[in-house]
Amino acid sequence: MPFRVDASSPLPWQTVDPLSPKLFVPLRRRIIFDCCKWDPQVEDVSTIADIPLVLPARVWRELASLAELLASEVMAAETELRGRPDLHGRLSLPRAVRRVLGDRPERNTRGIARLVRFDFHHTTSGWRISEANSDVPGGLNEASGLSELMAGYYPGTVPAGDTAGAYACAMRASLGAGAHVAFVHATAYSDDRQVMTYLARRFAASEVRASLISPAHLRWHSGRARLDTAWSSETVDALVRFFPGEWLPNLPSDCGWTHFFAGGSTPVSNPASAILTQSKRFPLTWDALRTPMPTWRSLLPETRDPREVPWRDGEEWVLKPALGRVGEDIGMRGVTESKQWRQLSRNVRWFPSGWAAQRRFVATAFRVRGVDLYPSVGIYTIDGHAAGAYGRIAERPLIDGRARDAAVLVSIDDEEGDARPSRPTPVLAWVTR
Amino acid sequence: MTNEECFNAWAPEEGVWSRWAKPSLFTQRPGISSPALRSWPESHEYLWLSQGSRTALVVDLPGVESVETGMAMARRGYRPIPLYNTSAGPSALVNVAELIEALASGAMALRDLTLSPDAPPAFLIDADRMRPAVPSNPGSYDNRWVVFPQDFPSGTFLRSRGIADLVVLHDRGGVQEDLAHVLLRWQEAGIQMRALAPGDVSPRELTVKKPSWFRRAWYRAIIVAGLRRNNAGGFGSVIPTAGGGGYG
Repeated sequence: MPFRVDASSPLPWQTVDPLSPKLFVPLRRRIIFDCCKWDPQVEDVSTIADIPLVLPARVWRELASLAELLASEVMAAETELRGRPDLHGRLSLPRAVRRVLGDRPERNTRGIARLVRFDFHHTTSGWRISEANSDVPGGLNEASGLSELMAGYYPGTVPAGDTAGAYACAMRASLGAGAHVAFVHATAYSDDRQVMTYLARRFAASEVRASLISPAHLRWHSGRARLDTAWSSETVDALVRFFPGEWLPNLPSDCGWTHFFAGGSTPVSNPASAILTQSKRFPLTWDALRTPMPTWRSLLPETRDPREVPWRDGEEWVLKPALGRVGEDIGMRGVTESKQWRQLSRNVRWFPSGWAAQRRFVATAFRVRGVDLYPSVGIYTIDGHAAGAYGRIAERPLIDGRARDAAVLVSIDDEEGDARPSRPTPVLAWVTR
Repeated sequence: MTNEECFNAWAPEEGVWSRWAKPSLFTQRPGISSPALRSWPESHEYLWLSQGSRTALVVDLPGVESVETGMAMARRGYRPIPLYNTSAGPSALVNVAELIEALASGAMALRDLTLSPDAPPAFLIDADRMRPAVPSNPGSYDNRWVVFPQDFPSGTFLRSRGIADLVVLHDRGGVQEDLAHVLLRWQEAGIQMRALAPGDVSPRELTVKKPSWFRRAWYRAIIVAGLRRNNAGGFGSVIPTAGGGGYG
């Protein structure tokens, strides 16, 4: 498929044509079977976009650099917050989580292959982030698999990294070949199971063995995790947690869920202390931290306690639940359906400490087949290095469950003097590790 | 026959309803061995269903019986669409191994049938999806599941394809609550409902009553959170360890 470079365009995307149905339908099958994408349809909507987001290499490098700065700051902030239980009350964390985080913070469970995703949006004021997913970022199948498949249809482009491959490499580099990693997730959720199955396949290719388990299948002895299932009682070398931190207290105490936060010597990707920065109210702690947050402050729109701002009076503020996921329950006056807006407003009035108000930005759209599309690009970092990108496209300026997954590609022939590198940095370093 | 070929037989690319077919069980059949040949008995219970009808079906019967019924419907011109949204695993609570094999065998038979791309759909789900086949022991693999409205086409889409009425084939347990959420949305969209229970000669009129939490924006969150609170990281309740308190 052709794409055209328009150097005069104020938009960071390059114009491409969508795939024709003749090409897209077989590609959809490949995604299902090659990338474990088992939820390609939600009611009447295909969850896979037939058009990729194509970034010039300079844009990709800019986003990757920004994400690495953000990652550096958020890790430092998490470390400081871990020792500041006096600030945990501002984050709207469940009481059981606050209790375990406040108890002997020096016993923090060790992290390994720290994975974070920063969701970038192009706005009338340049790039902004809407949030960071520092707890259990998803989208890995699509970020790696969909982009790889789609790149084959757009000559002159390459996938914007390979997060799953980089993740496996990072684990192997830390643990060695033959290591045994348990993927902890909600086993009965096909949505989660598909991500774990795909990752297990990619880890196996890097000679890291995976067991797919629920958190109730773990037991901890002297801080070491081992399986306690009907089929195995092996110890594990590391854990990949795909189970949100705020849900852990719902588990029975026998399975030792507190070890995901503290007291675990088996390393976890990510330790549950990541919930400290996952909260949408994380910015409310910044003024009390020694850690400077210059990149966050410049990219994340002003974020306040709803009680401090006139969110009822206009469209200036977006309401977000402190621990919301995949855009659920985000309120934007004029975008959110009026009935849902009324429900959210009531909830914010009654429980303001469970919400954050974020100043709204004006996202730029691109037009395809007469429809405005609003993209977001989630940039993953692993241990602080940019590793890949997850694209989503919505038909309204809100990325939620209705948004479609999109491949993120990087054009490799758009810069003057560019010697057509096979992979733009920093992707190159991670793809070839 | 590979797993993908099996899926393609059930959900051919040109089929109107293929988009909704759930691939998860098809991806989990071990190896690429040829599926076992099996006979698909013609059921005389469904003779009330006329050839060429534009009635949609929801087949909510236990395990392999749902596949067998789907195959019987295929011979009557229906496109069976498997919506089994679960996965296999060691010591699984819901037995899906037989289901996986039945789907593979069914794929071979479907290849020999000529169905119109626009053939009316028969959506297949397992009535045992929340009924463990084995005792819930500590360490078991919890693969129970439920259906959500998002798993099906909307009533608007059904009507756009000329589907104005629908029959639910259910077992002795009646219409399950998760399915009732789906049916009520269709009923509100003007789809006429009927139900066929075991022993019925022909379908009866069905009026779906409003289930609890109907249309709440957070219905999905509630059902998931509620089940999680009692279950091992999935739908259903955490399987308590011996002597452990657990939840519920």
